[in-house]
Amino acid sequence: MFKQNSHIIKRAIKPRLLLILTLSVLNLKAQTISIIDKETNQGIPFAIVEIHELQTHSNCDINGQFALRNISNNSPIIVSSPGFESKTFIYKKNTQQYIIKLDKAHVILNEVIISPTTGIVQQSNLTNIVVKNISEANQSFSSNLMGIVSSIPGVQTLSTGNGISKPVIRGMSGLKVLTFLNGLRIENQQWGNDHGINFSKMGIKSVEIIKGPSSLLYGADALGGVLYFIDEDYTSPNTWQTKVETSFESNTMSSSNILGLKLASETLRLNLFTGYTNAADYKTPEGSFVTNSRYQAYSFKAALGYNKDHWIVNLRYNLNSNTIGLPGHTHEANPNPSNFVSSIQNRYRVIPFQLINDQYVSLENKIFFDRSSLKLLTGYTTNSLTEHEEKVTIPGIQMRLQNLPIHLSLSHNLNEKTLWTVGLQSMLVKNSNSEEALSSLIPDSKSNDIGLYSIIKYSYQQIETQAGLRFDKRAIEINNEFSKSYSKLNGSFSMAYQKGKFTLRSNINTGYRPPHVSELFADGIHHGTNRYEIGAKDLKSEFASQLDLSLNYRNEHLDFYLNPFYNRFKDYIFLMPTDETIESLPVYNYEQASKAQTYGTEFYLHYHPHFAHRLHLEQGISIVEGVQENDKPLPLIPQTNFNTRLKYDFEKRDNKLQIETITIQRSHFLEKTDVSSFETTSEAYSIYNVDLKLKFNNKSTTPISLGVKNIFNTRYINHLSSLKNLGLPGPSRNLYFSINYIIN
Amino acid sequence: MKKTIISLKKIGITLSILLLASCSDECAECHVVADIDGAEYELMELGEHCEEELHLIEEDGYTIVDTILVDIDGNNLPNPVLPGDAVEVHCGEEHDH
Repeated sequence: MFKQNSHIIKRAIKPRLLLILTLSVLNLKAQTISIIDKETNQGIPFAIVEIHELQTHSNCDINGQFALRNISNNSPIIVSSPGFESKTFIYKKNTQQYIIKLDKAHVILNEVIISPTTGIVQQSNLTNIVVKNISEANQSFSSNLMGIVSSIPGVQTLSTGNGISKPVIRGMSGLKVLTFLNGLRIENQQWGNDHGINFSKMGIKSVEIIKGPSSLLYGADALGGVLYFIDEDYTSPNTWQTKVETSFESNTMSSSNILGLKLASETLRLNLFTGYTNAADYKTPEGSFVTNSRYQAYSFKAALGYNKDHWIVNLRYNLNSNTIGLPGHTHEANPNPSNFVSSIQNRYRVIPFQLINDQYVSLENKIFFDRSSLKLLTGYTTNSLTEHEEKVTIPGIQMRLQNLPIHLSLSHNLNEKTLWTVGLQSMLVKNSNSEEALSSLIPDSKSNDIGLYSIIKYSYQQIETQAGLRFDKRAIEINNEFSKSYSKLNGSFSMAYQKGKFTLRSNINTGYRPPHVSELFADGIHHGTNRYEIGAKDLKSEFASQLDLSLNYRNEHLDFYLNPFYNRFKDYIFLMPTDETIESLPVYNYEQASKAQTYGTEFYLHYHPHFAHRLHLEQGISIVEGVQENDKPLPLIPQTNFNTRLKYDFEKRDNKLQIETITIQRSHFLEKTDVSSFETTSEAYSIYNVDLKLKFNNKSTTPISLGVKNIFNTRYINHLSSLKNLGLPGPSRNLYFSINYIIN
Repeated sequence: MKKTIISLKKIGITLSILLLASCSDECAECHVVADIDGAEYELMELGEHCEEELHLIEEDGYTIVDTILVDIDGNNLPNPVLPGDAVEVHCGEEHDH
């Protein structure tokens, strides 16, 4: 009996032993990384290893060791650990073992983030781009994506109540700003001031912001700036993670809930997220509620990643379904602000409202060779926009915008100092109106883009340079009645010089934007903006060229940059009001100014005084001015903004509930008097916010954030608010609370 | 592990209930509106309508059979609304201000 059992045990053990041995051999083959404390030469337990190309975020073992497997040559890797300075290095497949020594951090001024578009550390980028970590962005006192983005100097938002917000980069917005999500270009009828970005911060890791024209990399329409969002990393191999994020805001009595699941094997990875947000009408400092500023949003997101040898593939899907009330809707020429507020706060759906359904699918393939990499991104996006004005069941307008982009690029290291990249981009866009709608604002149309580019990057000692050329062509066809092609050659030259703690960057970039169908053929009521808009068929392409300089200084106590810019436009397209009305609504014509210019500067300072180890002072300043020919001001140029923060880091203790930081913020906006002919001036105002970060330490760490926005209940109206002309102020004092609970 | 599976199951059931609970019939209060000299006047309430009935009343509109001299609050209209005049049916507006 015993003999028989022993035989069975042997049979069972044999394959397992074989598997263990095989794994051990594989382990021996794998390159390892040891992360050690530079001071003590001891391994740093559970230090973090971020592999950019695989989009993974893993922990070392208790000895600070990690096995590197299936990583492509020249892939950047970030290593970090709380209390230590982060470091980045480039992976080389012929290096068997990496020993990375981390310095104890006196203070961590700004974290190391890799630019998703260039694959190099933000501070080392040649062009002046800003990368912001979204998941760590609770510090910005904002729960929504655009609120977080607008905490960056040079970026503000154009809003319609709380539910609709669009990015404004150095005074440019709408069709002049492009949005990408994981490399996929997002088209969402962005010509309308009331057509905001439809996806939330759910599952988003970071955003990269390119200020100014950048058609070289992003093609037509990249005239005012680009927002490039990147999804959260996958979890470590052979682990899984479930998390619940929940937040509440008192002003809108809103709640937002996100459920996330991450799974990963050695080669296959899966991220799943779903979320729901529901907000009632927002409260003004006077205590009334702005009628129909309510909104609700459902979202779902999935990402599936696979890698084998030198091939990485990512398949992604996003679904966003939003119902957004349109506040301040009127046909009256002289509306009374009291008609747009109520003493009761509601959240149910009433007319007028928007229904927006977006779906994005993308397939990304990357193949790495010894000295080259080939990337192919194909995708499909669809944006269904329905606006109900006077009837609940019959839409006023209903449009479907479909986009099929393709991007192929090849990068080749000609030698140690020179990288050459060539690329081909194409995009097919189709807009169609539903016959069920009462009217259509823009006609059915198709457009076809094709672009070819070549970029060369060269490094010599402390100097890095990059130059590139790109040719783009767009063909627009409208109902067999209009067919026209627009083409342009664009270029860019960048140079960076590093000397000690100083970095000096200079960039000359150009961008172009053919007129959009809405600008060519609009002829109808746009309910979202209470305007009758009329297009002009003979509009030419807009062209922009920008000179951007930046000076950066960074040491262990101080980080600052000064970034002046000058952007010159040719054939600038804008909406001009007229003294006519149609159906009681003011008529706006699309017009073109032969010349226009924007100029200004951004300044950022992060100071950590040596005598007060736990104190941080941050100051951001954004100044932009815009004028067209005859020195007339351009419309919708933001107010000058001063953003000041004072943060105190509390000492880490082993308490179950620990206070991490307390931050006080002041946002000051200067008055705006230089306004365009149809705008009114805006008054100066200051908003004070306070934020407290806590951590609950149990089996896992649960971050908690709570605070108050607009502490003094200040009445303010931002110059970029669509409700400004109705005299409707921004939200009153707002208490918020958020918790991010990781289940395993 | 078993405990985790049970808790995930609970989360799934709760989410399903919440999703089902959020699917309700489309109903709205309707009223008749006349446009006189560029201003809108509410003439009468038509009560609550739901689903197909709501769609039909919005699509078919309303026909005035008697001359109307005052609005819903009893205020005199600038011009009377006569039988056959164009009027609109508005449904689903907010009425608490």
